[in-house]
Amino acid sequence: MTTEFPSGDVRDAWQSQPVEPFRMSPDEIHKKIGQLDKKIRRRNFIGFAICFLEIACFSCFYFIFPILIQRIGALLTVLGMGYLVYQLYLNQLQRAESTNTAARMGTAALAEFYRAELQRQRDFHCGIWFWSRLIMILPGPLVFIVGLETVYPSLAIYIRAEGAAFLFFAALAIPLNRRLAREYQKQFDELETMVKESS
Amino acid sequence: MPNDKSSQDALYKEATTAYGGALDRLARSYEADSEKRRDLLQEIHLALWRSFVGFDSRCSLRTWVYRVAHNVAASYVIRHRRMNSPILLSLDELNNIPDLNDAEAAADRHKAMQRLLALIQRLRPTDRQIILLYLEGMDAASVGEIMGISPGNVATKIHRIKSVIADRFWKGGRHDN
Repeated sequence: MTTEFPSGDVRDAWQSQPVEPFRMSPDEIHKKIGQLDKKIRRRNFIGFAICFLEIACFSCFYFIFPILIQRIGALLTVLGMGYLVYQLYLNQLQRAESTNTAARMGTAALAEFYRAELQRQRDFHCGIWFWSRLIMILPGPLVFIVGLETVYPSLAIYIRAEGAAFLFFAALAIPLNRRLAREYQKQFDELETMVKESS
Repeated sequence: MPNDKSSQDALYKEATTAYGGALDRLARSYEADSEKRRDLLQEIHLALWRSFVGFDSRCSLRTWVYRVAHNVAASYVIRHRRMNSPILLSLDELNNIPDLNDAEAAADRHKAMQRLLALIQRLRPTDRQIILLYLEGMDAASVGEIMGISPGNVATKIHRIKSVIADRFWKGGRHDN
């Protein structure tokens, strides 16, 4: 018994596979595109709203809490979240420019498009983008937790556990992001080699 | 503008009539789950319709359609990568791993096609794009135009693809003997 395709036949076999017909009417497309745009706007709004809510809360904490160390923690958190909003905004902007413009997809060769996507993803998970994000977000909540412990020493054990959990997840983010970045870099290098060989 | 929309509609209709089947096969090669595949296919169709606002006939409709479809699919692969998803392989790596579906090696064409699909789904996007364009009947020059690499490089890749396919399917047959 053999599973071998007759050598000249594999393309015919591939093209003669039964396909499920899929087509959308113009009305369906116009409606769907309207819905998609709305969905993207809503998703962006929710993401940014959460960040701004946190900024608003910690801004209030800054004025409410009397202990200096808590106020510093609140201020650092506000700065960290502000930086996160800025990065997310830049990333979205970059994505819209480099990949999401559908018309560009027709003019951009696959290698060029794919390279831009890989580069954007890799940069988000390593180097200055990742480390600055971590450095900006990490200190605020930690300082705030130290401040909490100062005010509520009887709850120290719970507050420390919360701090440890926060640190654990922050530390976990490092190898996970590095792994993703390595994978994108590997594919990026292969693509570069292929493009170089062909030029 | 209504005029733009109607010309986009007309181009979309032409494209899906000519390449609807190829788009379906492409989506199948990128996504095994049927529900998600339908979403991907819809995403490709929407991007295609949107893209026609910029279609200026500097390349053929076929080149345009394949570029948009593969670009959407490559973006989909990157976006949906999860830490526990299988590692995507290059052609060389694929040739060196044990058969993906050894036990079910079968004679009939349907199963052989399923196995081919399983092989393709494990490839990295660039290799996957080349193999798909080859299977859709394109020559090295056309694949090169779509991919943005030289026909010579494509020809080399296609040669390796052919040998990988032959090797894998021959191996499958040998196990059954």
